[in-house]
Amino acid sequence: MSVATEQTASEFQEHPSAPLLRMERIPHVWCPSCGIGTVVKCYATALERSGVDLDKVSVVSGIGCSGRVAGYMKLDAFHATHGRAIPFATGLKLGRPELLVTVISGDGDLVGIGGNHFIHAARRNIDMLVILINNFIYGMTGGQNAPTTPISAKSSTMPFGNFEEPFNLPHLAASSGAPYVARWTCLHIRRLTWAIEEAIQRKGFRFIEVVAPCPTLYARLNKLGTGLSEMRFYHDNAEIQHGCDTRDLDIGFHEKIVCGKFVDEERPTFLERKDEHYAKILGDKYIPMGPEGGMIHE
Amino acid sequence: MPQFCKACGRCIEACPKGCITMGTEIEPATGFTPVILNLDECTACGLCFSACPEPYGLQPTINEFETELFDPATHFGPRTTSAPTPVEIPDQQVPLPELEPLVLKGNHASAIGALLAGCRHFFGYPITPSTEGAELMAKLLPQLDGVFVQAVSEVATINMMYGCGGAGQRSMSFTSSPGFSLMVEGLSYMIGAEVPGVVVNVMRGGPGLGNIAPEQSDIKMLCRGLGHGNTHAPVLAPSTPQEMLDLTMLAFDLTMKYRNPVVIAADGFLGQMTGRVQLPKTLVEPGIPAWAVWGDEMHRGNLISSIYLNEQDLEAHNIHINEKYERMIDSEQRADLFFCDDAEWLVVACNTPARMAKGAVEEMRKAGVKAGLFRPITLWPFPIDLLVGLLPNAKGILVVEAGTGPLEDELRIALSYADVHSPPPITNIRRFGGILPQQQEIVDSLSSLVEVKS
Repeated sequence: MSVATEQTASEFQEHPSAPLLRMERIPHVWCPSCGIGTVVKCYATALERSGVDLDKVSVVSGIGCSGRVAGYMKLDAFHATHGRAIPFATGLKLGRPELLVTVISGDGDLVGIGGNHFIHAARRNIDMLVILINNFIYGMTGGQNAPTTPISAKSSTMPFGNFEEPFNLPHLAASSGAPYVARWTCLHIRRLTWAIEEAIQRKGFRFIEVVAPCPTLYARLNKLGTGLSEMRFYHDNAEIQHGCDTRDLDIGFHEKIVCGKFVDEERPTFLERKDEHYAKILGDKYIPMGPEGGMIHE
Repeated sequence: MPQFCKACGRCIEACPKGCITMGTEIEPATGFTPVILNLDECTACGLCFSACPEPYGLQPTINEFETELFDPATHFGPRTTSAPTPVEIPDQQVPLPELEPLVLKGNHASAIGALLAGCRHFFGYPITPSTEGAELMAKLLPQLDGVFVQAVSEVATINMMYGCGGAGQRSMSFTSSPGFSLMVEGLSYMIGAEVPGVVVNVMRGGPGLGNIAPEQSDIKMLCRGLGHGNTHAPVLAPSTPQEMLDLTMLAFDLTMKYRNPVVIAADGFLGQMTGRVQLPKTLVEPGIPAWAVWGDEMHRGNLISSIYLNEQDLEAHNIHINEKYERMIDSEQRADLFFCDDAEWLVVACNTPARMAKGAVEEMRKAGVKAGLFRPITLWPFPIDLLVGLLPNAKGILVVEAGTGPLEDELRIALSYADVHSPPPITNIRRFGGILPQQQEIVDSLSSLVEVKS
């Protein structure tokens, strides 16, 4: 069976995620034991498992460490402006409604400078999958305070410890209207992959927060050891509580991290609402936009 | 008063005697149908005045004179207030003990300059290669009776500066090119509302995200495109860590003097470069400007705003701003002249490329060529008055830039306005994308110019 032998050989030679990665750009820029690579792998695995048409998947990133994800995915990939990955993805989704639009970016990008866009996309229930990699800090610029930095944690712009209340991201997403909200850590590789796979099947503004270690800055500034000790910390301190009230999901400094799926419900998306509304008001005069995104000259 | 009535009908509801009815005639000044008063039944209870949401919609006494819409002062006279006229509390210069020179990074030198100039309010957002300035401020300001806030974006940053500057306080931010782009809307408002503030733009490669390497990429935006409308701000271009400190102090001086933001155009190298920095002999203890929204009785009449809905008012405001720009052009032109007195070959360069240009000029002088470096310190206003005097000797001008040519554009615009219509031939060396022109490139270019001429 020559075919089988060939397959075995190619599997041996090639990383399972290789078909989804721009291998010519590998190795990636992320630090040793950074969590972003894990998320990329989980995302790639979930995409393959879900069986979606990969020609109809696009990935959008903002700026920062996690902003580099788009550059490594062998998909229709976009590197957007700082904080504006979600408006960019909104435009893309409305331009090509048949695409599965994924936003993978960091906490500083999506809920710091892009916080306004985040809550409004959730409010409108724009059809996109948002994977937010939360490392509690601005990594790329050198460890500045983020809107997720826990109280008393040190950062380079809070050298005496942070005193600002951080965001509880699942609660922010859920209260803004997101119909799918989950949180996992970089230790929960399988559960994260399942969550992404499940979220791909849902519609609307799907939000997955992934708690990730930043060994170079967050862990070093706060004397938390290496990336591996962060993993050990997740192992000992992550609690899985599906359906937990999102109000109880604050993350304190070096305190337990509640993981799980918190919201999974159906709510009409922006485009569904739009179609329904205009069909009601305009009747026959309403021309709904096709999956290609409007008038295309054939 | 029909000119001010918007026909909302609240007084009709409020009147217990039914004296007021909705009008039917359209008031030409407003397009509304003002209410009609029938005062036969009126008991002067005043309920209609209380209900009226318009300041001059209803008046206790019937007005007897013609009124002009828009300006209540014409028929009510100037607003009376018992508050005293604001008095400026001037800045104090406090002597500093003489210290040994420090060895500082450019960004740190600039932050220390700001502290010495009396700045105690810092708002910033992380962006490479400028962030060290913010980080030092985060460390020092809590210990110096100051405030450090990491804003959520550059848009938030500049508006925090707008508010803080409106209170008459010295505020600043560090940023780099993409961040500066986000700030220009706020800068336009600050210029319109005449609010001071200092932004240090540690320029990096563009357009878009570009990279984090040094480029003089924003000179065009800083000199010609500082937001919408009629906007200009003094643009200071340091070329050493020492100047990062000195020019930051000067920037605070200028920003308070002209009530206009000031921008420091540094480049990525200058932000990161470490060098010898001598502290000044005095530091500034800031006073309170008379125009500040300071929050006491004396200052309560002050208004910080950039809205002038009336066309005549906005034109007059722009004339006032233009007069300010003229004063800046007349008295703030600054340049560093190196071997320029008898120079036949003028090199024009600023920021880090000026350092290579300086080396090249020294090399050319050793070879017997009369080369000189004209280094603008103010990019806007361009120091044309200092350059014009050097032109009769000059056989050629070489503009050296780590950019695609905006410095040369500024030079040519300034020459044109100075009525120099046939300047010596202008050539250039332009490197960009984060690559700086090298001394040898400049020497080679100058040598070939000299050769062609002889």
